[in-house]
Amino acid sequence: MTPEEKESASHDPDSPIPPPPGGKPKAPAAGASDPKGKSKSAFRIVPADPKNTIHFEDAADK
Amino acid sequence: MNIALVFPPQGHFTQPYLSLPSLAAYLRAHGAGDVTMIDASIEAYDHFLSGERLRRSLDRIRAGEGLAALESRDGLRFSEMERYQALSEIDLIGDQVAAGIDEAKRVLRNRDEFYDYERYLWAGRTMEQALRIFSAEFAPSRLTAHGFVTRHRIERSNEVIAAITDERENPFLEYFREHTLPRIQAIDPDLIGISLTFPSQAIPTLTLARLIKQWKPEVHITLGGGLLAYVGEKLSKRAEIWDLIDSFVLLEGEKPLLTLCEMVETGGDLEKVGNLIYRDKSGTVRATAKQDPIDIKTIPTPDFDGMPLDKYFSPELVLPLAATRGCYWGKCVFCTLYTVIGPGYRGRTIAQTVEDMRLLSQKHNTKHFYLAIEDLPPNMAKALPRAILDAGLDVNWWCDARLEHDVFTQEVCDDLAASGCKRIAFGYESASPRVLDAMCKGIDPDASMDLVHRVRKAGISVTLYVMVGFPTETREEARATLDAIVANREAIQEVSVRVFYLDETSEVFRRRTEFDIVEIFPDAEADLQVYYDFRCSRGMSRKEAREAYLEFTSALRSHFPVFQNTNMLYHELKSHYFLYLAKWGSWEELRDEVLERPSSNGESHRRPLRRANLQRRDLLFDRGSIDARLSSIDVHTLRPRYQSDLIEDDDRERFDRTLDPEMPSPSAILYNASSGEIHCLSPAAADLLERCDGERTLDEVLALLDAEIRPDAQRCLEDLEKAGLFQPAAVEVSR
Repeated sequence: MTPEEKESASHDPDSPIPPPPGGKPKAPAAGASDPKGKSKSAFRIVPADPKNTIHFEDAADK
Repeated sequence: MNIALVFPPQGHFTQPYLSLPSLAAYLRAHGAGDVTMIDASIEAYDHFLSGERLRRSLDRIRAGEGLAALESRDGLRFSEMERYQALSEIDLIGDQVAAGIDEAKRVLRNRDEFYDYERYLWAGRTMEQALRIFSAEFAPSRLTAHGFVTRHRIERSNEVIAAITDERENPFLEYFREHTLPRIQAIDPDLIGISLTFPSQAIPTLTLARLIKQWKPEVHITLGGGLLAYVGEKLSKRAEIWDLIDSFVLLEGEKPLLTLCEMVETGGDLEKVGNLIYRDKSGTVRATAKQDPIDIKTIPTPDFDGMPLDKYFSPELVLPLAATRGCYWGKCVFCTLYTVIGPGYRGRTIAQTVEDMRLLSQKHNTKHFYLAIEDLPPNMAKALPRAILDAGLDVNWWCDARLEHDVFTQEVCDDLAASGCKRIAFGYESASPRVLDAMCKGIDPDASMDLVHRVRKAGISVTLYVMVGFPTETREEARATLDAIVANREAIQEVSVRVFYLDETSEVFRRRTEFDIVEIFPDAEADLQVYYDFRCSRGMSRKEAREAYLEFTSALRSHFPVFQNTNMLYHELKSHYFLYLAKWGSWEELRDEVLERPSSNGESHRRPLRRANLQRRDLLFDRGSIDARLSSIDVHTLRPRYQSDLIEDDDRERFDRTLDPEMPSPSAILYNASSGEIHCLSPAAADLLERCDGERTLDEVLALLDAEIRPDAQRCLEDLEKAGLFQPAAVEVSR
């Protein structure tokens, strides 16, 4: 293993962290149309947020 | 003999990795044969991120169920929302991204355009969008700048083996057949070494090995690399693997690979190769004797000759260099690196390190180095800067280091900065002395923060590694860590936070009862499992640790300029942030001149408004709502593979059954072609923007609306301007 390969291991990817025993994932709120928590104004703008924006950990990985 | 060394996808695309050049230098120095290095990762990215390839993706995606079919539904189930998100983006920007991707790569490789921050952001966004389009062809598999994941879990050999023949979801089957295999065939190697460093490379590695074996069964394929220190033995127990691979080199590769080359060439006994797992002629899997770690003072300078150095997506080369191997501290109970690198700590001399820099700098016309080391040892922290300066080297470099408050005096920090050190990443982990003691970190948090301020004062960018969820850590202790970081934010530029994982090769796993771990949860089907979920009798639960992590990331986004908005310097962290630091000379310059440069002048009241170069797509469903609902799955779900950010099939089916469908509600998405950004707007906001036609002032736009909604509309106009969706016109119009 060469030293730069530490990155693979120290911030390890794909870690299996199952749901906690007995814990059931909470359902996302239905119909949330105001994700920034602003007023109920008809005027809304948010940046598009495709789900694969990277996580903080991912950037440090490699 | 012909030797091919392959770095398979997926590694980061901004700079070369060190494994192949280290091995090639050693083999060439010992006359092992003709060595060819193939960085199949950067070559794959270069191909996938091309206009021609993206148009192929678009054709294939559009041949399937399109956006119109989804829009005809009464409501969208969870999995349909996922597709809607992807398809609406592709519908809006697909052709434009395919048309712009080659230019985006050119911007990232061009010294002038790369450092034009607006151009850089556009190029980075275009790359990410292109990767999303490409990934949509193979959904749910996903290739990003930082990873490659498929629905097949790499903790389960059954799934890994299934993945390597999955034509539908494994993008590398087609790519390797069309590109990498022909290259290997042209070399016609006798031995192929594949460097398996990251989990993201596991499926591509075996995919490639299978194709090679189908072409030339007699070629010897050996796997080496960091991941095998964790899963090599487990993988070797799987009989099917031996149809693809002839041997595994565990731990350091130089000596075993050299001996393996000799044995393959002469038909010798593989038992003579150290640290090797192989299958003998009787079919028995054998592990050879342990090989002593190499003295790295005896190895040559890494040899990058033959690497595709012009292909990386950076304007200047940042070359990795290993001045040491292993960790001189070697006590942290969560860490396993000091047990697998080598193992054991070794260093090159200061003179050798300086000479390595000089040689590589001259040969490859670069002054940028990443010292790929565990931590900068005290002797090197003190002596390397002076040696660099005495040698007259004009270099920029960065590395990791321990928070050694006795070592990093102000004088040492100033010397480091003077020698071109632009950035140091420290393992801070926690602000709690109790947690740090339990980790055996050997550092004091207050003294550490004083050290951070000295490094900062010297002008070096500071990165802190932080961990939440160490066994027994309480929520209050995690919050105290966050508070300490935020309180010292003027001295800290970046924070890399992660949730603690229980690694079965770590000290904390072996002595887990001492850390109040009362239960672990093995996955019976995961024969390649390395990390375990666990339960402690005290401290945060895993769910609470995950929540603390999310609290961290949210706070960091609020308080640290590098993490704010969609800062691409952060996204492409591997070397782009470092290059920007080197370009601007100091963090302060970079922050003031680039990251926080004031934007528009706020004179909208007097000046007419005009829209940016925008494309609009009206939708029957609310994309903003869909985005929020999909991202809330992230927040509330602890998935088995949460870090891969991929939802499990059974979770998806459950969400489809149990979540309320998303009902139709019109919205619009807008693409700003000059910045590459996409925004979701309500119909009212989109109509308001339409009225910003370059003729009307803000007051005139508002005057078109009913009085009672003007305050809301004014706020919206401010948001639209902040989002860069219109700017005040440059010339004031006479009234």
